[in-house]
Order: sequence, then structure tokens, then C-alpha cells
Amino acid sequence: QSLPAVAPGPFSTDEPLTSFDVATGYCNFFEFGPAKDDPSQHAHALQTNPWSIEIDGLVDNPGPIAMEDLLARFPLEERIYRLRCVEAWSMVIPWNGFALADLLAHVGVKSDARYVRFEAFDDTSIMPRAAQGLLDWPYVEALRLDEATHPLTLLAAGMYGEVMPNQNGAPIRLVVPWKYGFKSIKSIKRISVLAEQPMPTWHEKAPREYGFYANVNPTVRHPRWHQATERRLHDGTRIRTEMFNGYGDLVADLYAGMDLETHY
Amino acid sequence: MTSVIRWGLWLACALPGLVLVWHWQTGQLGVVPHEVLLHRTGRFALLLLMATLGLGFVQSLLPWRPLYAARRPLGVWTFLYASAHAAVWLMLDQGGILEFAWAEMRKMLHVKLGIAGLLLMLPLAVTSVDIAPRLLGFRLWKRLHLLVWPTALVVIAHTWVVSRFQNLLVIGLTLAILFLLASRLYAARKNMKKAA
Repeated sequence: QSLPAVAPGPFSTDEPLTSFDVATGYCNFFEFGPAKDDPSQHAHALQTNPWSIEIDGLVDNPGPIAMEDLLARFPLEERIYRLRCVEAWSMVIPWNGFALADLLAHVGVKSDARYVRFEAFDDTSIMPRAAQGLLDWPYVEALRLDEATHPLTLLAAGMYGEVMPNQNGAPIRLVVPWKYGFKSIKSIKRISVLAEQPMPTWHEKAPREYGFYANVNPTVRHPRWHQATERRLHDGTRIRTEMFNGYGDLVADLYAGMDLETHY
Repeated sequence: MTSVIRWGLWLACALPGLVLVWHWQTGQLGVVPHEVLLHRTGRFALLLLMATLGLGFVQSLLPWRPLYAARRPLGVWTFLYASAHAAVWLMLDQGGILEFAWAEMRKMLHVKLGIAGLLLMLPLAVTSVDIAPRLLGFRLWKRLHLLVWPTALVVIAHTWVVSRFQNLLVIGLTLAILFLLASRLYAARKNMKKAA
């Protein structure tokens, strides 16, 4: 289902795009099963209409926002970003979304806020394969407030000019291109603005393997594989991984003075 | 009978590989075929290794000559699929870039274990030709082929490291290998006592 015309936004790469078939056929969306083709086979069960995001915590205007209101208020832009998975594969995807900062400004963030927590949909009736206890549901991710309000950070409601396919996180998902893909939570149902650091799902499950920050970093290895290189899925080539996934000019300042070996 | 079993098994072992190549060449391996090739060749090698070991156990209970003939094709095809697995890793997963592959070999436990398993199998594959037992002497040849046990332990360790979730298959295969190894050690002990 095509979106209305989407204007080009800033920060886009001119690298060749991953094909739509690869980007929609090779997904990690554990609610629908652990295999890469599970989401494309099972995610059709996800009901995305009606949909609303509950906004709570340290905000001036808490409450639900309906998907239609979000789309009416925040025009979608095209952002062509690199996506680097913690599993050492990567894609280049044209997202259609708007800056998360715009939504946070709209709801008004209180001055003692430090973190933003995201919660995905959680409906065990449509995730039979996920009831195997792979992870604790709902899936939770979180960013520091300055990461969440960074102009690169996107809420995407589409890709390739199409309404977001279910297996890619319909109807709306996060996109944080300088972090490993698991930070970019899919099918968001709740956004909470908080003072304390929340506990993301993968970080809780395996803290040695999945850090809170999860910035793409070729020099800090995963316990079971190293992160110096990545497989580009559209042509099968293997390339060197760039610090912050190549977005260092835009985001390195956020981590000035931090030891990225410790805060991986 | 023996040659029927031997050639039948050769074909049966070759078949999944041929089907895999055919699916690969006709674009039936999904959107990232290299990964499917990597996983399937590894899985075939592991299952054939299990079959080789399992057959040894069956043989110890049922010393029927044609069974003996069945072991060689299973062992040789284990090595062939393991070699294909390594080749897919080097040429497709690592893009044939030796610098990247070398970095993985130096740093990554699963790669080290995988290469160790392949190297342990190499002398077994080389000495699987008809004249090898005569050239080496049957006793030495037989001893050399005890290398299949360290191979199995290294290969199952490799499997544990690459599995994101410890599924029932991996746990079952590990228990099976430990059982087969224990039964082999028990039999060897009994033989030694008999000899003494």
C-alpha cells in the first residue's frame, strides 16, 4: 500500500538501496519467531488499525495519540539510512518517517526527564511462536533523552514509499541509524519519558552481549563474533564497519568523555 | 550386498547436496541464500558425523559385514559437507577476503573450533582410500581413525557456540555423542581386560 508522496529529508546516504524483497523478507521480529523468515510469514496476524501510542511519564500532555493524528500532524520525510544489525549484517533502507524530537516537543518533556522508554505491542494470541520463552514480552527499548531528540532519530511509518510492512514494525517504529538494529524497536504501543535508566529487553537477557547504548562500534566485539566487518545483504559483499555506523560526525559529541568499551 | 550398500549410500549422501545446489541456482533459498547454504552444509556435516558414530555403535551390537561398508561413505561425505561449509564461509560469508577471514580466525572461538574440526577430519578423509589400511598397517589405521572422537567433541562445541538458543536438537546431539563416546570407552576397557 503506497504512501502519499514523501518529501526527501536530510542525512540520506547515496549508497545503493537494499531491495524491498530483502528488507521485508529477512527480519528479526522475535514476537513472530526466531528465524529470519518467520516475521514475513506470520506478521500478517498483527492488527494495526486502529492503533494508538500511549504517552506517559514526565511529559506535559500525557495520553494516547491515535496513528491518524500522528500522521496528520507530522509530515513524513524520506531518510535513506544504513542499518547495521548486531549480527554483523547490514542494509540500506529508505525510511519514511518524522523526527522523534518533534513528537517529544509536541507532548512537552519535563525538565527532570533523562530517558525515553519504548514498549512494543504485546499480544500473545498472535505470537504463538514467541511463547517459547525466548524473551520477556513486551519488547522494551530505551534511549537517553539527548539520543531520542537527536535529529537523526526517526519514528518511521513507512519504507520505500510504502506503508510500513507488518514484519518491519507496522504501523510505526523507531529508527536509530548509529546504533545496532535491535535498538530500533518495532510496532510501538507506549512511549514513556523517565528520570531513571530503563531496562531494555536484550540488555536484561544478556547484558554482556547487548549493551544499553549498543552504538555501532567496530572496535568493541560481541562475545561470540567480532564487529569489525559486516555483510551487505543486497550484494553479499563484506565491508568494514564504520564507527557509529558512519554517523560519527553527527553523534560522536553525545558520547564525549565516555569510555565506549565500558558503555558498549 | 556390500557394494549395493556402498553405492546406494554414496548417492543418498550426495542427494541433499545436489538438491541444495539446485535450489541455490534456481533462487529458492530465500532472500539471503549464502546464509542458508552456510547453515545447511554445516547441518548436513553434523548429521552425517552423528550417523557415522551411530553406525559404529550399531555395528558393535550387530557385527554384520555390509554395515562396515556403510561407514566409509558416511565419513567421506561428512568431510565433503564440512569442506563445503568452510568454503561457503570463506568465499561467500567472508566475501573471499582473506584479511577479513584471517581476523575472524584469530579472534573467534567458533571459527577456531570449526577449523580444528576440519583439520582433525583431514587425515581420516585422506586415509579413506582402499589401500590406506594396508599401507599404514591395519592397527595404525584403526588408531588414526580414533580421531573421529576428538572431531565429534570439537564439532559439537562449535555447534554450541554458533547456536543463539540452545535448542533441543543441539542438546540431544550432545547427549548422543557423550553416550556413544562412553559406550566406546566401555567397550575398549572390556577388550583390554580380555586381552590382559
